[in-house]
Amino acid sequence: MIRISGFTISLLLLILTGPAVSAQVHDDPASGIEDDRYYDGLRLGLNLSLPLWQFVVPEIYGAELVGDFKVGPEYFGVAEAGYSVRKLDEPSYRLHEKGVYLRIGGDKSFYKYNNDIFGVGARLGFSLRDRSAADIFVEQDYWGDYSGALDSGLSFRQWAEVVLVIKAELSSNLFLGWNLRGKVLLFDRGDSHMADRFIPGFGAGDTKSTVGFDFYIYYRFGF
Amino acid sequence: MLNACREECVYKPKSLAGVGFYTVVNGTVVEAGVNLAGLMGVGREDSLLYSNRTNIRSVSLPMNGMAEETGFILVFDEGADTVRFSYEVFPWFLSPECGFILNFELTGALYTTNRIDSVVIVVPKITSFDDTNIRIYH
Repeated sequence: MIRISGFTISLLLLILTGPAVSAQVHDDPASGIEDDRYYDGLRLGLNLSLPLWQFVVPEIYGAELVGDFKVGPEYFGVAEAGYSVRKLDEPSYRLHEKGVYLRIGGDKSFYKYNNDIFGVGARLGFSLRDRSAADIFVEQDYWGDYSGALDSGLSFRQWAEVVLVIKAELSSNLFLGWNLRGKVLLFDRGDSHMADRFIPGFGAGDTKSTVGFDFYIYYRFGF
Repeated sequence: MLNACREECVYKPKSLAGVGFYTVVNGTVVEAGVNLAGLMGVGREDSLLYSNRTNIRSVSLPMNGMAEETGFILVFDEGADTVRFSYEVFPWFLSPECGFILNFELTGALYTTNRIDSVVIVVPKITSFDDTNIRIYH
C-alpha cells in the first residue's frame, strides 16, 4: 500500500509535468541541436522519495545522492550513494540500525531526439549496516523474564538490480526521474544469529528479492 | 504514524531445545520412548515441565536466557539423572510487532548416568524451529 502511494504520487507528478516535457522542442542532431545521448556532462540528483517515505514510516529516514555521466553513445555510468537509519522504540526493546550504501552500474537510453531518457539499467549494490539494541525484554514462562542488550554488530550485504529509468527534462538541465527497481540479494550468508530485516539501499531483507520505486530531481552540469 | 497502524503480534514463538530419546539395538540407533515420572529444572523442582508420561519419545526444554547454563532433572521409573547444558544466548529480532525472541547455541552437556547412557548434541542452534537438538541415549 505504501508503494502504491509512492507510485500514485509519482504518476501524478508525471501527469503534471507531462505537458511541460512534451512542449519542449526535441533535439535534432541534423540541425546541430544537442542530443542527450551524446551529451558530455555530469547529472547530479537527489532522491525525493526518501523524505516522503518518512511521512509514512517515520522510524526510517535517510538521504540519497545520485549521479550519472555519459560513457558512450546512449550509455550512462551511474553511481548512487546514501545512508539510512531505522530507530524502533518499543516497550519491549529499543532497536537502532544505521548504514550506508552504494549502487554502481549503468543505464542504456532508448529515447531519441530529446533530452528525456527512457531506458533500462543494471546496478550492483553494497551496504554496510550497524545494529544495536537495548532494553530488550523477553517473557520466559519457566525461568523468569529476560532483559538484556545486543552489542553493536556490522553486516555487509550485496545485491543486483535491474532498473527501468525515466528522466524528463523540466527546464534547461533540470530533470525529474523515476526508477522502478527489481532487486535480488547476492551471496546468501547462510545461517546467522543476526537476521537482516533492514538492509540500507535494499529494503526488507527477510526476502531475497524485492521491488522498489524512487523518484529524483536532477541538475545536469555541462563540461 | 506507523505505530498507530502497526499490527499486533499474533504469534510469538519460543525457542525450545528438542530432545529425543534413543537406544542402540544391534548396532542400529532407534527411537525408544521412556517412562518419565517427572522432568523439572534444577532450582525449579517445585515446577514440573513433564509428569507421569509413559513411553514418551521426545521433550522440549526451555533454556534460561538469563544464565549460561541450565540443568534439568529427569526422573525415570528406574532412577533419576541430571543433565546440565551450557550455551550462548542470542536475542533474535523477530519483527517490529513481536520484538525479540531468544535463540541459543549449545556448547556442551554434563550428565549423570543412572538411567542415561549418553547425551549427544546433534543440532547446536536452538531456534523456534522444531529441531531435535539433543539425543539422549538410554
